[in-house]
Amino acid sequence: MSNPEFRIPSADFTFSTERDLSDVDELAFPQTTRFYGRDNGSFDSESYLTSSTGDAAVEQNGTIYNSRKVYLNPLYMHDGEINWSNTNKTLGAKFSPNSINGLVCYVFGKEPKEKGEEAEEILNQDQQVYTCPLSGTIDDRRSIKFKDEKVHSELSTFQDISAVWELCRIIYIPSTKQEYNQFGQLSLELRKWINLCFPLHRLAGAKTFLKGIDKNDGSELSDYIKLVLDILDSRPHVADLEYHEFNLRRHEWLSKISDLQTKIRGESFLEGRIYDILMILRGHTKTIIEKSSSWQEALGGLVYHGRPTCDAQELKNIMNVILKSIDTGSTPVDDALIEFIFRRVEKGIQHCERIDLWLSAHLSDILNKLDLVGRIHSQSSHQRQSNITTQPDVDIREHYLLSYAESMVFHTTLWQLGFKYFEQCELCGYSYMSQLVVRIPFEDEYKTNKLLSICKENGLTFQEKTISRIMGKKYWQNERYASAIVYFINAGDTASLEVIYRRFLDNYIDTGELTFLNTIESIQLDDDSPVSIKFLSRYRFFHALKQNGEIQRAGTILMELLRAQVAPISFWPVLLLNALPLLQGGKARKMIIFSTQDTLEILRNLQDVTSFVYQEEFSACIERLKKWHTVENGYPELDNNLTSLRLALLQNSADCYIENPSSPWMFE
Amino acid sequence: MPDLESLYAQHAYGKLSKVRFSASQQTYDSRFTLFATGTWDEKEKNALTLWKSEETPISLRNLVPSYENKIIAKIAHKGDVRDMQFIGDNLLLTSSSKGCVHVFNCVKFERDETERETDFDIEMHVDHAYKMHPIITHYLHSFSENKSAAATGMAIKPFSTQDLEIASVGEDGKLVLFKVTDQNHRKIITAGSSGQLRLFDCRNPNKPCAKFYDPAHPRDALNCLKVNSSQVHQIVSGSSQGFVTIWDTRNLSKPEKQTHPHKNNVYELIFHPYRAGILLSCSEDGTIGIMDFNPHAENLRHHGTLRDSILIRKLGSGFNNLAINSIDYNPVARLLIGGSDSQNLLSKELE
Repeated sequence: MSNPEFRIPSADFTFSTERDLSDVDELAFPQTTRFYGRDNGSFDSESYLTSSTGDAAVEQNGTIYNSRKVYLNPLYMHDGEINWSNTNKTLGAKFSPNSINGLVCYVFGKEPKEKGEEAEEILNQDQQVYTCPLSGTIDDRRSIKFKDEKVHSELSTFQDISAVWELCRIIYIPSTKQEYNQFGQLSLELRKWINLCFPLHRLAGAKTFLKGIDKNDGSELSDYIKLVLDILDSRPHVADLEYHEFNLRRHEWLSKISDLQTKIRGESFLEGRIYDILMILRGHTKTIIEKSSSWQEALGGLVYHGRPTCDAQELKNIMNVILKSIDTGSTPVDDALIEFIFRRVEKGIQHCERIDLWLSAHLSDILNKLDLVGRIHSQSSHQRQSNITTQPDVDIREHYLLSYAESMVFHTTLWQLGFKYFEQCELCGYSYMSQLVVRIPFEDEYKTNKLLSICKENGLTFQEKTISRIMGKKYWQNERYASAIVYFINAGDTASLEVIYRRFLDNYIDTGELTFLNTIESIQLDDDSPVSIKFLSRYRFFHALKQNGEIQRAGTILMELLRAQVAPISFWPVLLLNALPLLQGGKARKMIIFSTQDTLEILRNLQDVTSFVYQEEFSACIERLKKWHTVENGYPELDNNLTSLRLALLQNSADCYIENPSSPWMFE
Repeated sequence: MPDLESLYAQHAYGKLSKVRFSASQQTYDSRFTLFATGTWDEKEKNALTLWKSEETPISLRNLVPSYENKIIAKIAHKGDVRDMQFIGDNLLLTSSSKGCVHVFNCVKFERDETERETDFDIEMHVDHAYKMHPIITHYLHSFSENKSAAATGMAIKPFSTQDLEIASVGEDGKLVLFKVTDQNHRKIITAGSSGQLRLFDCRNPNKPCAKFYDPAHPRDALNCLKVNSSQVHQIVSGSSQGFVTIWDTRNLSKPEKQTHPHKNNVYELIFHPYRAGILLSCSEDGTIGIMDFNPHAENLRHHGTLRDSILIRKLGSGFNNLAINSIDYNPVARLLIGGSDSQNLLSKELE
């Protein structure tokens, strides 16, 4: 590799062959960011060949990188305890229109703060949210040693994501805006991609180097250098010309190179290097591959110099040539990139899964939208061997979206996002949501409401009811009956409501107090509300009317309750006894509260509950009532035949008859 | 949604449950505004954050929003922040999911070179740093002696440090009033999951003096409530089905006006302090609604849709798909802020 400390002397120099062979060999070829140069598509003759950290003018003016930055406001302050993937990256994952081709991925990851001492400089950088492509700027930090290993590995994941994403954009996503001539676009974009995603150390300008070694002594070498400089300057630019014009000019230019090559004998070391440069400029496959330090560089070199007008389909042929000579390594990012170049999209996405779940999910989503990825057979190796093909095909997009969503759904904070991803999965999202939504822990109403919203939005009725039931039980345990009833009503849990209902009635039988019943007042009911709760509400209303002295209306409500036949048998004696104060009140005010029919109905019910069939329940209820239904408390004496009630009813019937002689006499 | 207007989003270091502007007496020439945000669902890492919204220099206005929100202090908060109010210049009152009410003192201090502020690993790069100190904690809500109940809301009256009345409600079903003086005959109104609004007279706290509900949606749970400070008989409620309903406490038989700006839970409502008839709402559906109940003809030309003679504008952000839990508006800075589950602070300049 080139040595970043190696400086090119500004004055004339000689070099010892032994040492410089190794250096120059590396330096001379397109392994440099500068080699692929600027954004305008021209060959950057200023910047190849030499390596120097001293010649950093190009680096510092910042015009080379075209990374898009969004300034964070406020500053991003890296908290060592916060996991970047969890707190930043996932939250900002977005697809949005972009000016170039309608698609961009906002990963929303923030650069960590790694150098506290250089406050001012670092602060400016730390305000940036990086959008893809972003590696150009990250590259400035590659040499920085991270204190935090985790941050370092996340940053490297981020770079890998960016490399894969950008390549896929270049070769799969059709451009809607004509930034370059269509025929030259791939080579220019590929060159940009390599510079952004796989940059090397800083290298000095080619012209500077050539001028540096040119002694202007009229020698043959000096002439060659001038000719090379002329060739570098006269390179036809793919972006500026029409297709035929470009080919014509390029043909002429290549002939010029050939002419020069025939003159160079290549005897001295320097002449040999110049010869190599000319070979590269001609796009000579073997030379470019030999001089490249990585397969990406070779690919970029072969396309840029050899096939500047090629399209994405041709990349696999070029790649085949490269793979014969260069070992590509087997990192997930290499594997993924190669598969994408060979247009084996499914395999590429599989490798992406090893880089980051976010990448595989979003890439498969976007490629699916472009109809580039669909379903794969999910045969296991075992199935293949035994020729079993019963397993249904898997929708790749959904598979990866579901994996990504699943990874988030149990995160203590990000669980809501997991469900947002599930919502994007038409086939299996619903079943995943229905399984998982009930497994999210919740403690209070605030979080419960969020879960219930998810259920409502996605039609998860059963789960909505389950969560409501759990909340109802929680409130029940804490004796917050009104809230419990509301949740049980929402859950349609009639069994639990029945238990609460019985408990309320029992409480009244035992104490004669309305405290429990008053909680019903705060529950708003409608026609669909459960009968038991409606009964409690009406019964409470009856007591309220009675207390207000509205005995006529109270009588109507009581008859309504009796006729509804909702109350359990054990509560009937209470309901019947409730008629007694109304009868007495009516008598005092000379009002007929119950008509003859009402009286008859009460008597019939009285007859029923005191019959042999319900004897046991009746007696038990009377015993419980006797604890508070006493003469001291202002109630008439209670006996097992409810004599006082019978007498009052008889009296009422007589009053009815006197009032209206045409009404039937009760014994008729 | 085609008529969605854009909100500016920035990372807020947690899912925000409440946002509140400081109640300090601001003048028109003040160049910055303070506000606080509180988080929820962050396990042991819930926090209160104090922000400063500052005008950006005029020369930069074409490039960036005309204000800049910066964090100036941060402090851990026990439990989710359920409600939050500033009292005067520097007291911040919060209620928590642990059933407590806390009071924090926000004080400015001149930074000492030897003393580096490192709360939450945050270094504050501003001229004047602030610190927040907890000064009072009251444990108000519980189901039983050992079992706390989450607080669900809070109200303060009047908005001064003198003679404060603070009301807090919780999942234990209790409405707790403190520092209420005897000569006050104030009324308190509550709304809840049962769909009822209940009016209490402080002299007879055991029984509501009135209760009412929306007869069209009797069981629609109510999430939030606001009293119009310029017309105290006017209140507005937001429901779980996305309805915003205006009531007149002098006629409770039916709602005065109703609209349906959101698809889902409405979490907070604000009356525009200067412009009568304008209401702001935020919702689970990830949008902020601006409702004009008395739209003038000239306003109809602007964005928005007219439903039942109520003009509705919607604000949202591409960076926010999740619920907006809280909003607040500062008329002096003309700034609307919102806190969302997507860990973003949302903001927009609004007349």
